[in-house]
Amino acid sequence: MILKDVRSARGMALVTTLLMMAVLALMTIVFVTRMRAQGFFGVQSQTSLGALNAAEAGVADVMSRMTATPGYNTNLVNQALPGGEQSFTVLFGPGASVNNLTGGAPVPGPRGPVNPGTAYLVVDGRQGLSHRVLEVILSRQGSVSPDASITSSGVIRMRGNVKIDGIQGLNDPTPVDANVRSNSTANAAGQVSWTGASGESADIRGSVYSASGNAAAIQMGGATISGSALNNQPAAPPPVVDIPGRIAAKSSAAAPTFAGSTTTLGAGDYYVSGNLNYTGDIDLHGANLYVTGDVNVVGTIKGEGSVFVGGKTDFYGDSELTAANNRQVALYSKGSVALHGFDGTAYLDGIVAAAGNDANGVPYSTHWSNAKSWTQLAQGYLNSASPTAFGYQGSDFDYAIDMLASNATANLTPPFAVAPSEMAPLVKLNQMLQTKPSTPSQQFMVKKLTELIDPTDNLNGLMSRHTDVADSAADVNAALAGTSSEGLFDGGNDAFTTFGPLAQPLIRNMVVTTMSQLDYDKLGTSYFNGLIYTNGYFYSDNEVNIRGGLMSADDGSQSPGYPDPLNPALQVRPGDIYLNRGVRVTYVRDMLEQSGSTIGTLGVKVWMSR
Amino acid sequence: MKARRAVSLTEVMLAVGILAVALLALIGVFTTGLSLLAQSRDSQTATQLARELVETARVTGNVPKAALSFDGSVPTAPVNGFPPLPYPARNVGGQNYVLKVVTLPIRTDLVGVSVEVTWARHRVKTETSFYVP
Repeated sequence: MILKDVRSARGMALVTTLLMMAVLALMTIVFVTRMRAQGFFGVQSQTSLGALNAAEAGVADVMSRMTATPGYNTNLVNQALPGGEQSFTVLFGPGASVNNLTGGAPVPGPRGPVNPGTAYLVVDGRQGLSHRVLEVILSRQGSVSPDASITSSGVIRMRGNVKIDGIQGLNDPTPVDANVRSNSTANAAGQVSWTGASGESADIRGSVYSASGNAAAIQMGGATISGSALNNQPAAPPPVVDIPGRIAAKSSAAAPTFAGSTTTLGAGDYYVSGNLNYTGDIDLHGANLYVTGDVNVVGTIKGEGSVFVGGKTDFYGDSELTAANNRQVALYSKGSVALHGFDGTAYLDGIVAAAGNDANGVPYSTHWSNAKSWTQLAQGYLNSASPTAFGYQGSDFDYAIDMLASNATANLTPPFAVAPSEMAPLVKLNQMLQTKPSTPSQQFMVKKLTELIDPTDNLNGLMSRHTDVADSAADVNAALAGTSSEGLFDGGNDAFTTFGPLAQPLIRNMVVTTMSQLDYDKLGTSYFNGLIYTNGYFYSDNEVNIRGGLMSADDGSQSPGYPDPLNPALQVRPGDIYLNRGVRVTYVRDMLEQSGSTIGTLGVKVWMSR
Repeated sequence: MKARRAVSLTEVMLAVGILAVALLALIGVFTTGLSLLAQSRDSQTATQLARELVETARVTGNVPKAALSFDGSVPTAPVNGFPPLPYPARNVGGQNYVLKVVTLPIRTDLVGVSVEVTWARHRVKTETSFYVP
């Protein structure tokens, strides 16, 4: 029996051992498999994050390139990062990345329309076998207050006659609030102030805000403010713009040649190393001018484009810079900006007093006085709701313009009852001025009066800058050519009877917008059309007319200055805005509201990951 | 009968021997495996710490434009808040992780940032990413 048991148990130990070995082997296999999987996932996790880093690096790289060149759309294929293990690819085209930062209308993108002022990027980052795809929407970002015509990081001081109002767009004269905002938090009085002599006024069509908690931060006694005047308001500082960086990024651009009385720069980028000192007109045709040093221009800067200045900026006389398609900032200046307007009113006062009488025995002082008062009369009709004020030949506006600049027979109905010898004071003043010795001031005023008499060129330029109304503008011009011989405004007024209802709003907007800027009572006014951004101070004097907006953002890089030649002791600090001896600012909201504005830093608006 | 009894003893001894060898091998495998698992966990923790720094820097946007090196073992003092936390070091699960950050200007407005994390004798380096300061 025992033998039988032993026989039956023979080999059991080995069998049991082998079974245990099998179990242990199975456990080992499971353990090793899991260990390998863990290792694999660990490595993959690291390479996946590396690929994500590469994709994010690609986004930053393209942002950098688009900051320097807003229209950038060149493919970047397998761009290696330092170290060589990571790379990224960005392709532009249908179904891939789309740059619409500078566009005026939505364009197709991989996930639907891409709005103007934005870019849709698809970036493929790789490391080893891992790759991650990021999709982002880029747009300009900044804390620009969309209702502030004047924004400063310092104080805002105004002297003399001041008028600040706002319109929706260059071709849309709908009034909007034009607020004045000081972001200075200094606990001091007079962060926003106005001082005027007897007979001078300040009219602000908006509110005045100060970030200072000082109860006397706003000192606007005597000024007319349509909105509120509030201190202790939240600061809304302008965005930081890397002006030197943008200039440095264009160091390989063509160097322009400034010569003669007019320099025309075609579409593209231009780089000036050092200072730009020029006496004459600079005509920008879609040009972007980058200057490492200071800019001193005695003459006109006009057209469409942008100017980036690494140093200070000074304009003398009739400066004009027009924002391109309502979105391009006209002037970025690292240093301070000074607009020295020509005091045409004082100049004409002196000339007229010494000129005596015209051939009909009418004193030129009478013509000068009539020119100013009748201009105000005409502007009043533009803003009137009366059906007889504007909109057809024979309207009140039509008669007022005839009085100013036409040799047509005088209307005998008050207030248009004018002696024939006093008709067309602008024409007579211009004729008188042309007999005077040729000086820069004389030439300036002759040019200004000529523009006021027949400012067709002004409106043509305005229309041509708005391509979306090009056809209508062409129709207007054609009609004006056939119906008007007395200047744009008169022709525009008459053209109401020629065009259908659809064209009338366009004509009215054009005329109202343009004429509202032409202050006939400030004949020396210098114009600056566009947005001005500076990291220093902004100073203007002598009836400067600014159509756009002002921003000063002190970044600690600039020093105080003494820009007033008549008051050398006047110190203006970086971030301050000083509007001296008469200024008119017409805020154009569209320039700031457009998401494609070049104000602000290009940033990621939406992140998406595939 | 004696010979057959001895066979059983031999079987048992052989089985015990085989088991002993197998168990020793298994213990080695498990020990190495557990060590590798711990190392993998530490490596992932280090990668996450580096990623946290990369993300924080992208949010705060204060990456310096100059070529700078910040060694968390010294530690080098941050400049204008850069590098952000977890620089210079962080202790996770008893393990001390030290970060080293290097900035490298790529263009005037583009900076590369490389983050390296070390702990014990191991090291993981997260690859460079770019920033627009």
